[in-house]
Amino acid sequence: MTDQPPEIPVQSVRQSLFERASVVWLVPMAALLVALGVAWQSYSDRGPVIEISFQSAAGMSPGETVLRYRDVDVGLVEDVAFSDNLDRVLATVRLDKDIASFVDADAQFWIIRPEVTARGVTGLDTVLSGVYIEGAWDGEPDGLVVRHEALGDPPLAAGGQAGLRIMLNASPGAALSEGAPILYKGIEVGRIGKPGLSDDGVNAQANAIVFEPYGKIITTATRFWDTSGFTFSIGTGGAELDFTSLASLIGGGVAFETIVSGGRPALDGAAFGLFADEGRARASLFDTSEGTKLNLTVVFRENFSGLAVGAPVELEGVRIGEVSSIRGIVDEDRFGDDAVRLLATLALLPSRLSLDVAEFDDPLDYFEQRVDAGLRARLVTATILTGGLKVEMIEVPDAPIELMDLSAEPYPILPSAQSEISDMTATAEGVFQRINALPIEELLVSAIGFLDAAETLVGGEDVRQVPGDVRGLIGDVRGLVGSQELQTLPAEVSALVGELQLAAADMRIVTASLSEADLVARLQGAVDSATAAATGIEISVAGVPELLTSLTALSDRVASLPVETMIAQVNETLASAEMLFASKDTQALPGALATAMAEVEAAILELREGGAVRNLNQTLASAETAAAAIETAVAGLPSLAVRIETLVERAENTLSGVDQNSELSREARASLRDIRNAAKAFESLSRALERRPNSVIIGR
Amino acid sequence: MIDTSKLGELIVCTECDALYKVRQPERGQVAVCARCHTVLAAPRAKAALQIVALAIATMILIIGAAVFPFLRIEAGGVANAASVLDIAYAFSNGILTVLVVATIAMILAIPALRVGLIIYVLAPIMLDRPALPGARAAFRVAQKMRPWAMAEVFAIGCAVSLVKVAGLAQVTFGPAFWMFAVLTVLIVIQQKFMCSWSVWNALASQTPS
Amino acid sequence: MERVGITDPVLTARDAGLVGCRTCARAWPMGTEVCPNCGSRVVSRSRRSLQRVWAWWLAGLICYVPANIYPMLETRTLVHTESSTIVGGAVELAAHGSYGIALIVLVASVVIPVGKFVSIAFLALSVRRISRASPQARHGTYEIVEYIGRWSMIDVFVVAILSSLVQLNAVAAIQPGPASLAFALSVIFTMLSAQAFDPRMIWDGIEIDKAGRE
Repeated sequence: MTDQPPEIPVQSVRQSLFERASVVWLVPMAALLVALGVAWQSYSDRGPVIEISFQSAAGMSPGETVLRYRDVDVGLVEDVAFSDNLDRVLATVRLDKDIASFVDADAQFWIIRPEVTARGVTGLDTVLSGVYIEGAWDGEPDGLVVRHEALGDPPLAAGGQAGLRIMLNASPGAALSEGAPILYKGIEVGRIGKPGLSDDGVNAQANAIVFEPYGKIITTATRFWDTSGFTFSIGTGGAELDFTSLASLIGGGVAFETIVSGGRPALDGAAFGLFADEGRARASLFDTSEGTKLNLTVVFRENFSGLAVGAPVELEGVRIGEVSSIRGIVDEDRFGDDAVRLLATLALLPSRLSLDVAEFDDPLDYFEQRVDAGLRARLVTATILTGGLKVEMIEVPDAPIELMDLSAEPYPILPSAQSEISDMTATAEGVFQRINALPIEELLVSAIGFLDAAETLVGGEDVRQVPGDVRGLIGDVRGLVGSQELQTLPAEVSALVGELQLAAADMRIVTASLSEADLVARLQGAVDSATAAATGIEISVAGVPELLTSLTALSDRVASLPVETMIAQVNETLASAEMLFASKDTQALPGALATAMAEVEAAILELREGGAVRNLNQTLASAETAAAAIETAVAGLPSLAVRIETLVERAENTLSGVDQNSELSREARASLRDIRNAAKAFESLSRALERRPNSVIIGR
Repeated sequence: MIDTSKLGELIVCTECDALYKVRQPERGQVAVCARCHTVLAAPRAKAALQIVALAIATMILIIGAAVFPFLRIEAGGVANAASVLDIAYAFSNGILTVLVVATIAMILAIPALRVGLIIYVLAPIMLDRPALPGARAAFRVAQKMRPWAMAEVFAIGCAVSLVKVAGLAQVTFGPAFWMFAVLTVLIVIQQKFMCSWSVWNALASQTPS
Repeated sequence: MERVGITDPVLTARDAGLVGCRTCARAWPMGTEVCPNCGSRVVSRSRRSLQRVWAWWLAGLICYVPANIYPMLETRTLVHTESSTIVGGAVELAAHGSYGIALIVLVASVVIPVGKFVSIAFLALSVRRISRASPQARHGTYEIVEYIGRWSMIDVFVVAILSSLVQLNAVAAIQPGPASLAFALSVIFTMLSAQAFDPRMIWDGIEIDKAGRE
């Protein structure tokens, strides 16, 4: 039956699982729940939205740029739009819920992007990942603040680093570079922020931070200096190229050291000066935070050039301050004439004096007291070479009574005294003028004349005879002693003594009979003493008569000598010599010659008072020593002359660089010429003395 | 030959054109072509209910998959997230822009359309109400679109590409990913449950042809 | 259960002067153009269907060539840019050790499309001529082709996912290459080609054959 279609075959099929319909409705239910659950969760998980305003979008893109806190993603930029007047870019950022309450009013935001700073290249990873916003806030939730303004640059202490914040004021020669490290003994312990101008627009200053725990090292006595760049010096050791490190060579750096102890720990916001190099930092002891300054003014009577601002002020040798300003002052009423006087303002640090607070609670009182006692200020030479001046406070004896003028404006006035300026040129000139004025020639002529006279005296016949006469005298005495008479004298005396002895013997016999009585003993005693006396007389009497006669003869002889005339001559010479020595010129001679002459004088005095022979010998010896002294004094002259020559040469070389026509160089040249001439005179003198040292004594 | 008045009693195999007298298969039975063994009718009890439920679930999941974040990778500190639409937009580069449309269609639009149409057609059947106007056209379109709804192909494609990427970067699945996985399963189940012949039957019986 | 034996000749709708709607399986008299039940177009056998099959097939084949020549993916890393074709990418994956993925890619992107081309051509040809393969086999082939056809799109989706995900600025960025469009078109065309094919024609041949033999 092909035209009737057959029944369709039907076959069983395995039962499947999903038969119960009611269950199936769970599926869409579940799907719905899941979908809604996910939706709700992602909605509720969303944190709040904050708005941060930036200067520029700087690569932020909605949906991609993240907000990070300590390198953890805590937010996402959803939208970037302009503010109403197009001056700021507003980024709408959705925060994570758990971090939202921490973003309070002190939260800071900035963009991290690749930057090349003094510290190197930072933020390179943002090239790959895109810029991101970094946020910084503290760990205390103070409630969410919705509107924020982003910082233009990353803050100084990013990431909540604790540290001491200070302000660095750059002094001339020091450079502040942003992000430069602050080094302490080579370790980076801090960072400099962005430099700006100070309020008065004079110096550059920058905020800096010194990280904990190094912040405790900073005290008021800490000095900072610039270690960037390098120093090149040529010295005795050769050429030296010095720089702290390659990093600081390029990027700059600031190092510090607490130079002296005793400073107070610095507080947040303390200001420090930044010096150009270590030397200057160490040399400076001035810092705005080292205590209050005491300002005084001084009016100097003289007006000398050479006092500069910053010149030191010393009190009895201790530096207590510096000159802070200088100006001229003309006040006819006050001073009586219209000359220009120097008005210097001194900035003193009384803390340098460590005044006892109980005694002087105002340092001004101390100065007042000292001024009463005679303290005055005066200008003195600081260095001879440059002619720089410094102010010295010193007690001047016999100063006219002056009081400190406490009521003067703007600062109290300290009285001044005569300045002691040793003007190099004036001094040198003066010295050589004085040397030139010495009558050396005349003196030498007189000395030579005196010595001639002395020579004639010594070489005179009469004086020469004296030794011979004396010898003759001595010969006579000897002859006297050896004469017959004296020889026989002892024989006679001995005969006498023999007789006496016989007499004594007789007497003994006489007394022998009397010896039974004490009389004998007494007589014996008497005889013994008489014998002893006789023996004594024997000795002393021996040769006396003859000797007496010889001595008489001798005295006659001596009297015949022309000693008196000699002595009279010597007296005359001595008188003239005395006149010579007493003259002013001689007194004005420099010390060596004076002492030599004094020796000669003493010798001559002795000569007058004592015996002739001995004094003359001494005189000759003194003259010898005098000559030796002069020789030694003179021996120094050539070297001195040479030194002066070399000094002059050096000074000339120094001055050759100076402008030819300037006043200074002309003056200097003039004085140099004088020095040279004086040196030449010295030289010739010394050469003369050298060649013939005897010329001092003998004469040319 | 054949009584044309009784055409309604006949069934023609769609694949091999064999002619059979239609017979409602019993519960648990399917009608199969004798020659080519194609399943012609596989009615299920309460199929309408199940299919509609599944379809609703599928629709919800499609919407969710389109809205929520799909995948996120992270490598070297850089991250990137993509939703399903972002994936389609990967082709927005010159001439490839055509593919953007095609991809969205194949992954989301056509499956959503199908599901929507099926709900449109089957919901009245489920509720024993008259079919909504245009139900036949709707169902016809839905069936025609079947090979072009490639959601499950996309799901497997995800798996393949994630295997490729997971070695390079860190992959995070968003909720859309899981929704998509579930939706794929649901679509497969729904396909199995639905007997188009039964639907046509129901549609035919409802509206006077 | 009643079962009709395979050897028994089956009555086809065409034989019965009817035409079956491929959408709703209802039978209508021959010549009906629109199915009154479902409203879809009804056609018994169309010679033009084979033309369509071949047309789409050719289009798919044409598109398959650039799909293999042009790069499918452009991988841009910090260091270099790399373009890889389908095969090239698979080879590289294999070189990197991901044999499994490489195999999947090769299968999905090469074996399957080529297989589809071959199968469709075979089927189209077999309908015209007498083929040795049994109709069941051919029908099975058709089923497979039709089922698998859409899965070839996986390659395009992988490209899309990778391109959209791996956009990590400078670290790595993947862009789809022109081959992706070509491949997608190829897949679409082959799908259309398979859809255009009328499987009823496979079974028609048997009748002829059987009739011929008988």
